[in-house]
Amino acid sequence: MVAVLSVRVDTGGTNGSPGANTDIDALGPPAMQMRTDDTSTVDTTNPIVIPSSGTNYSFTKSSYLYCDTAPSLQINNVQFYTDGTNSLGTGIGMVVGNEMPTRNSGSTASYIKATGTVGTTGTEMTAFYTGITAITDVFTYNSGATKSISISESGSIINAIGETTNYVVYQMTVASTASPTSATTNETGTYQYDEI
Amino acid sequence: MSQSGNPRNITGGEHTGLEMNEGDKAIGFNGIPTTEEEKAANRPPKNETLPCVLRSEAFENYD
Repeated sequence: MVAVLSVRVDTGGTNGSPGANTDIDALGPPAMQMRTDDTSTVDTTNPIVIPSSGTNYSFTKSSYLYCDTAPSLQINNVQFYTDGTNSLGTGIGMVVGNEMPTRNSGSTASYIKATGTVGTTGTEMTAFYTGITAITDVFTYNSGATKSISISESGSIINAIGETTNYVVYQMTVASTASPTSATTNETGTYQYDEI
Repeated sequence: MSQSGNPRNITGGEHTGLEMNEGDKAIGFNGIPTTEEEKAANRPPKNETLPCVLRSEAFENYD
């Protein structure tokens, strides 16, 4: 059987206990809107305010791949990449946490609730997300240089409905050099995996 | 959601009859950078209740 995976985002709740998990596939495009509130909603409320100096941030997105239909045997070797070119606009970036806090079908204990000032800026990821100490520009990753996504299910594979990858945490950055727009160009990230 | 990839047999060792596929899954993302001024301009109008004092005055004529 061919597996069916969805991209989900945990929001709300408290640290270790998200209030909701949303299959964001149905929301797109774009499926993941970087905003200054802790929701998976796609609309124009709570944009990211361009700072007069320095950098503002979106709230973080704690995302992961979720198994909706199990594979015949297993999924592993999950990789993430982009087209390698930032087309979001001047002064706008997107980063991903280097570390991937543990998430699996039995635990969300490593979930950290997104935080910041609603309607203005999120808090920079490494400043509050326990377990994430460094970030990387997502456009560093391309089809020839991918980010390996870890799995904390039994055997480090996904082979049953409800099993997931670990959290992949994203955040948008907006510098003072950015220009206001109704929405940035949509960019695409791709998860690739081996399935047996 | 998308699924793609070319099926390929497992190589190296005994052939199990299972096929290995490379699946993929795409996510689109964007954001809305704005200024404080634009944010305020786009804010929905807020109904405000203005303080209002009703006064009743009685006038008396003094002869």
